Amino acid sequence: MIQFNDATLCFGSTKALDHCSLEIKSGEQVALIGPSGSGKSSLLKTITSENLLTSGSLKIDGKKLNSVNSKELKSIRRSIAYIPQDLALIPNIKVSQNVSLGSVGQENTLTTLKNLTFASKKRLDKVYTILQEVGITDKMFHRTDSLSGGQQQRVAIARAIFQNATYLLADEPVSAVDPTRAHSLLDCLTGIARDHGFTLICTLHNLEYAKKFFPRLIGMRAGSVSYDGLSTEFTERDFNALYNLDYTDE
Amino acid sequence: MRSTISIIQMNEQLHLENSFWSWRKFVLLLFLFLFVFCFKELGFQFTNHSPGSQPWKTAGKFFSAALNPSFTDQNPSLPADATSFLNRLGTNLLNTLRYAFIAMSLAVPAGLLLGLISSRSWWKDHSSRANLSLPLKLTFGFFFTVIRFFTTFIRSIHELIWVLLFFSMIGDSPLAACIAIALPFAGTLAKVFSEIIDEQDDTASNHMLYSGAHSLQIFLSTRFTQALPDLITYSFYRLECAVRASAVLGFVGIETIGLSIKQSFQNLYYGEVWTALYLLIITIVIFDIIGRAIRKRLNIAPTSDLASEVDSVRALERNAPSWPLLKWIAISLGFTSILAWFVGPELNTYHSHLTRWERTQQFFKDIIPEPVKDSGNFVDAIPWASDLWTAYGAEALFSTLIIATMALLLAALFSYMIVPWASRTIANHHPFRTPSPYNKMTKLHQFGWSLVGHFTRFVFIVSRSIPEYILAYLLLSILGVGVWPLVLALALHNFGILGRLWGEIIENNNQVTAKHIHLNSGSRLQAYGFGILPASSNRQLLYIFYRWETCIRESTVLGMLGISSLGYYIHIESANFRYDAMVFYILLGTIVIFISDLLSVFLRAKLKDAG
Repeated sequence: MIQFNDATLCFGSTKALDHCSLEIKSGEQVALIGPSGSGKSSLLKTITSENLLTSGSLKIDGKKLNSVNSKELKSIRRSIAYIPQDLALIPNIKVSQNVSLGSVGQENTLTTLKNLTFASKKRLDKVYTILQEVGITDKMFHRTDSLSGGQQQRVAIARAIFQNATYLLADEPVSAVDPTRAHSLLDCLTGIARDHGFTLICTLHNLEYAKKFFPRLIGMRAGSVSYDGLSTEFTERDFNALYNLDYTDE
Repeated sequence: MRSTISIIQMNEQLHLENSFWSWRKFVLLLFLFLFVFCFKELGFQFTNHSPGSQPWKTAGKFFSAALNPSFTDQNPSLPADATSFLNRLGTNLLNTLRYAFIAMSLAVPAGLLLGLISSRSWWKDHSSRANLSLPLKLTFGFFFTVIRFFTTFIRSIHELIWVLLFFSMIGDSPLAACIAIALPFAGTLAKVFSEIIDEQDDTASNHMLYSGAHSLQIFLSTRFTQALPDLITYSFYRLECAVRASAVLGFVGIETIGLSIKQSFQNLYYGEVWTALYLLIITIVIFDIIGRAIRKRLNIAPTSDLASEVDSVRALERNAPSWPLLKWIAISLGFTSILAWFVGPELNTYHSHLTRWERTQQFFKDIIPEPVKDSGNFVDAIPWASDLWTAYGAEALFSTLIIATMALLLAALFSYMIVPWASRTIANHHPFRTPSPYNKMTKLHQFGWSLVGHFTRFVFIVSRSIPEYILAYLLLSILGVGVWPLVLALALHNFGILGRLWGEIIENNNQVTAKHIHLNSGSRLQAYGFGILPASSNRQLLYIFYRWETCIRESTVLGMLGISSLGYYIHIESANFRYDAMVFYILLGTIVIFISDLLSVFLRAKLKDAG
C-alpha cells in the first residue's frame, strides 16, 4: 500500500506537491490526471524515491521512505517498476537485453554482465514469455533503436514486468503514440497489471483513456489532490474544476 | 506590469545576442594574431640550401620518381642471392603491422581501465549516489585527481621520446618500442574513453538506480554499454595511428617500413621510396575503409525483412538481423593481435654487456642531476636546471611552440577552405539529401560532383597517411635544413586529420536548414555557409584545440631530425648518455603539454558554452 500523508515537495520556491494526502491499495489501478505542472510526475518520482519529500510522509508497504536505511531503500526500489516518459532504454542493445535488465536490482554485478552477454536458455524463455504478453516476440533479438516508438513503449513495459515488482508506475505511457496504438497499449498495460496483480499507477493527459481503462482517478491541481474517486463518477464539473475552466462568461 | 518585465527581459536578451564580443570572435582574433606573430618569428626563408648544391634538380628527381615507383632493387651491386626489394619491403610492412597490433593489445585494455576509472561519471556513480561520508568522498576525489594526472602524464610524452627512454632504460628491442607506443596511446585512449563515457545520456542509468541496482552494475550495464560503439570506433582509429607510429620506429633502427624509406632515401633510390610510401598509404587507406565500415555498422541498427511467424527463441535468435561482417572483423582483429605476439622474429632481443637489471639501475642513477649526484642535495639541481633553461631550454621550447602553432594554423586555414567539398552531403548529385527530382543534373554534372568529393577526400587521406616524421624527413632533405620543412610536414599531416574530423562534423550536422536554402535556389556554398556553418563552427574550432596539444608533442619530436626544438636536445643528450639533461628537456615538454591541455580545456569549455 502507498500512503501519502500531508506530503509537500519543494524545488526551491516552487511547490511540486502541496500538503498532498492519498492512499493507494495493493492491486488497484489508478490514473493520475491533471494539467501540465500539476504534480503528477513529481508524485510518481517521489514514489520511486527520486524526489525526497520536504515535509509530510510517504509510506510504502508500511515503511516510511524518509527514515529507511539504504538496504531497506533498495528493497523498496526493487518492488517498484517504473516506466518513465523517455522510457530509459539502452538504444544500442537487443530488446531481450533491455528486458533482461529489468531484474538488475535483484542481481550482483557479475550476474548482470553474464546475463547481458550470455543469457541462459531459461532466462531467454522468460523474456520470450513476457514479450508474448506485450506482443513483440518477433523483435526479441532486434536492436532496440530499430523499433518504432510504440514498440519501444512495449519493451519498457516488458522490462517492468521482468522486474517482478509489486508496483508498476507509468509516466505518460501513451503521450507519443497515435490513438489506435494508445488504446492497444493501455489495454495491454492494464491487462498485464490485472493478470500479475500489480498495483498500477499511471499518469495520463487524455481523460477519455483514463476513464475507459482505470476504475479510479486521482485529479491533481497545483500539487494537491483535487479529485479522488471512481472514474464513472467523474463529471464535467469535476473536469472544469480540475483544469480551472470557467464557461460562465460565454 | 507583465509587459514591462517582458520588454526588459527582451532587451537584455537582445543585448546579449547583439554583443559584439563573443568567445568565437575572440578565438578567431587570437588565431589571426598568432598567425602573424609566428610568421614573423619563423621568417620568410622557406629553403636553406648550401652554395653549389642543386636542390631543385634533386627535388625534380624525387617527385618524378613518384610516377615510376620501383618494384625491384635499384641497387645494381647487390649479390644475386640477396633478399629482393619487394620481399624486404613486405617483411618490413608486416613488422609495422605486427608492432602496431602488439602496442594496441597493450594500450586498449590499459586505456579502457584508466578511462573507466578516470571518467567523472564513474566517481559520480560511486560517491554521490552511494551516499558516502565526506572523508570517503575526499579520498575518491584524491584518487580521481591522481589517475587523471597519470593519464595526462603518459600521453604528454610522444611515443618516440618514450622509445628513447625505454631504449636507454632496458635496451633496444622491438618489445621496448611496442611498450613505448602503448604507453602514450593508453593515455590518449583513457582520455577519450572517459570523455565518451561521460557524454552518455544518463536517463537509463538513473532508471537503474531507482530500480535498486548497485553503482557498479549501473555503470557497466548502462553507461559502458551505451558508449561501447564509440569506444570500439575510436580504438580502431587509434590502431590506424599505431600503424603510422610503428612505421616511424624505422627511424630509430627498428625494422619497419620507415627503415625501408629511410635507407632507400639515403641511397637516393627514389623509386623504392615511392613504392614504400604508396604501400604505407594503401595500408592506411584500407584501415580507414574498414574503420568507416565498422562505424557505420555500429551506429545503424541492422534490420531484417524476416516474417514474424517464427515461434521459438532459438529460431528468432538464429534469424535475428545482424552484421556478420562486423563479427568477422572483430574475430580477425582479436586473432591477429594474438598472432602478433607469437609469430615472427624474436621481440625481446637484447645486446649489451650489462644485464637488463644493471642497465635499468644505471639509468635511474643517471637521471639524477649531476650536481645532486655529487652533493646528495636536491637543492643543487636548481642552478643546474636554471643553466639548462637559459642555455637551450627556453629557446627550444619557444621554437617548439612556434612550429606547432604555425603548422596547426596553416593546416586549419587550408582545410577549412577545402573541407565542404569533401563532405558526402555537399559534393554529390543530391546535396543536403535533397530528393533527386529537384536536382536535374546531367550525368556529366553528377559525375563531376562525385569526382570532386572523392578527390578531396583522397587528398585528405593521403596527406594524413604519411606520418609527419617521415614527411619532415623527406622535406628537410628537399628544402634544406630549417624550421619551415617541419612546419610544412606537420601542417600537411594535420590538414588531412582536420579534413577528416571537420568532414564528419558537416555530415553529422542537421541538414534541414541547408536543404531548405538549397531548395530555394541557394547555391551549395550558400546552403553550407548559412545552413550548416553557424551551427557547426564552434565544434570545428574545438577540434583545433584538440589538435594543438598533439601538435606540440609532434613538433617536439620533429626536433630529433636536427632542428632546435626540444626534441633536438632530447636526442643529443640521449646520444651523449646525459640522461639527467634528457629528462630535464622531456619534463619541460611535459609541463608545456599540461599547460596547453588546461588552456585547451578552458577555451573548449568557453566555446561549448557559446553554443
